[in-house]
Amino acid sequence: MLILLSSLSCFAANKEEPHYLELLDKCLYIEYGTARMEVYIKNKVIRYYEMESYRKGEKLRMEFSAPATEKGRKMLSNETNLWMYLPRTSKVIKLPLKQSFMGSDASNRDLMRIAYKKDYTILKKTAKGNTIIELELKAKDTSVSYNSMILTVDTQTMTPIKQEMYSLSRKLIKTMTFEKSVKVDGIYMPSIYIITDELRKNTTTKLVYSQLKRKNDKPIEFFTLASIRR
Amino acid sequence: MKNKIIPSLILFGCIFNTYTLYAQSDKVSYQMILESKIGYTKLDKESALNPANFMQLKTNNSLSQLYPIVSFNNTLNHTTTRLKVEGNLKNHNFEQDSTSFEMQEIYGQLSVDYKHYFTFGKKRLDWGTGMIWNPTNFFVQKDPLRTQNRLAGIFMLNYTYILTDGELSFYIFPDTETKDFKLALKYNYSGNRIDASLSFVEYKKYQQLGIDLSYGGDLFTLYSEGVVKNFTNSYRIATNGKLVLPKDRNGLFYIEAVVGTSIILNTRLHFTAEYRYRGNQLTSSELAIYKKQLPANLLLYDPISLSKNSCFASLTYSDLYNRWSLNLRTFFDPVSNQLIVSPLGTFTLNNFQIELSAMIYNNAFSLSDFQTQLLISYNF
Repeated sequence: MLILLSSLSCFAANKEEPHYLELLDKCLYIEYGTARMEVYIKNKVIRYYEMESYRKGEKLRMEFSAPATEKGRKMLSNETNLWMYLPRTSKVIKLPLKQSFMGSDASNRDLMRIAYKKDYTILKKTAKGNTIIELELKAKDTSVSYNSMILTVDTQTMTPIKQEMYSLSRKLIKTMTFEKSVKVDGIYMPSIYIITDELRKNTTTKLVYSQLKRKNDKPIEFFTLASIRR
Repeated sequence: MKNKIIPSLILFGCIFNTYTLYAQSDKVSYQMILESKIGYTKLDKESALNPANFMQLKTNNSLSQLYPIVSFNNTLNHTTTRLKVEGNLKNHNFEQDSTSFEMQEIYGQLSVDYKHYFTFGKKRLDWGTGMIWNPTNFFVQKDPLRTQNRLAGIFMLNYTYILTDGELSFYIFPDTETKDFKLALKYNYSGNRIDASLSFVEYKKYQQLGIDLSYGGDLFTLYSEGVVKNFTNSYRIATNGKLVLPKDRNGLFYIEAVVGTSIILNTRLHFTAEYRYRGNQLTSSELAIYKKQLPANLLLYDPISLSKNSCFASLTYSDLYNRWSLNLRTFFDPVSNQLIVSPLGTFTLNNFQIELSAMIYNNAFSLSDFQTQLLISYNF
């Protein structure tokens, strides 16, 4: 009986699919935050970056404030484009979307795009405790970075705990763990993201967010290529 | 007098809007960059350009540069003001009388609702999509051997209107030497994976029409830019061997274009290639005449490419964490047979960067056989 209850059918999961994925999208959606990203090898920080992050729908703009060599660098992305502004030459260059994000374990797409509902469907839902569930997700099409994912969710705060990303051949590519949930405008969200590239050895990338806001007052023009040039 | 009213109003607006800065010290941003470069050159003793080193070129050289950068940003209601100053204090070969100071950028910018931007002052012009060459940028061309150099800006008065999928800019570039000015219009469009620009420049009776295109894929980018213009800054050798001055070549139409790609081969390997065509440069028969008349025709000299066709390729192998990279760059002119092979190693830590590069020249139009350079930059 317990097994029957904890392992819901594919049909039942699909029925609830908009509910979970929509809530998770809402949980992770913030329009402003400051972040410190640290890249570790064997628990030692080898690179760090500090940035301000602004979002409006699919558009994300990041402005780097540290380290000194990266100060003034800006990144802008939307669904299909990624640009970087280099203050040294005052030039904007277009970047391939799958390039690693500033030498971290995350790709540009990992950080720039979070759209569970749009990109994935729930194949299976498994209860892992009173308030923990595991969702098996399948990409809707091949344009999505990871073919499938296993997402562990805390249903009490409706926040993700862990996300395992798999390739088409079911090889584990990356693991993302989420920590220290904080309440932002009445909705919980994790403030620490730890990304591990399973294909590399002994490395992790830690993103610590602070000053989180669900809304910013920036107009849509702030998220344009023209605006990051200035 | 009228010419001074608009810039004065913009400058006054910027100053007026920044008076509140005293209460907002976090809006003041400053940075110092110190760059020290030492180089060694093995001169080409058989160079037709510099026989018996009559130019008295040195084999050892150094350049120290200090860039103080200060910017003020302030937002009051929906109006944002920015004042930026970037200087360059430099010294060659540690000689006392070779110290100089240049204001690289000094400008005020006023923006309203992030839609209307007014800029007045000396500011870098960021036209063009090419990584190495930018024909659309008719003012300053970067050094192809070090594209990351901080270039000096251009005096301009600029108004830009931001659209949701592009921008429309109008420029006036005053020219103090001729007491005249250039006018330019530029429209940029950003669409689904594609960016495009159309620019038009007018100066006296001369015009330049330019276009930029770039496409961004998941693992590569493709880009191109080109101009059609009826003026040139290049000299030419006539078939009778006489030197033709740029002013005597104006009035004819010239095409200059660049096409390039940047490809991620895997997480560590990155490939970039670029091809440039310049209609105002030398043909193979003109090159033959040029070669015979050296060193008299030094005015035409270009260490990378003298003919209409130039190629560039670069393969970069980098550390997964952006700490170091090894780069092999090649410049080749298939008509003049100018070839430069340049390996570059870069090591980056949070506040400083070390670059060690070499340039190996293999052609009949070089001043040196080999150059090497160590550059250390520190940001604080």
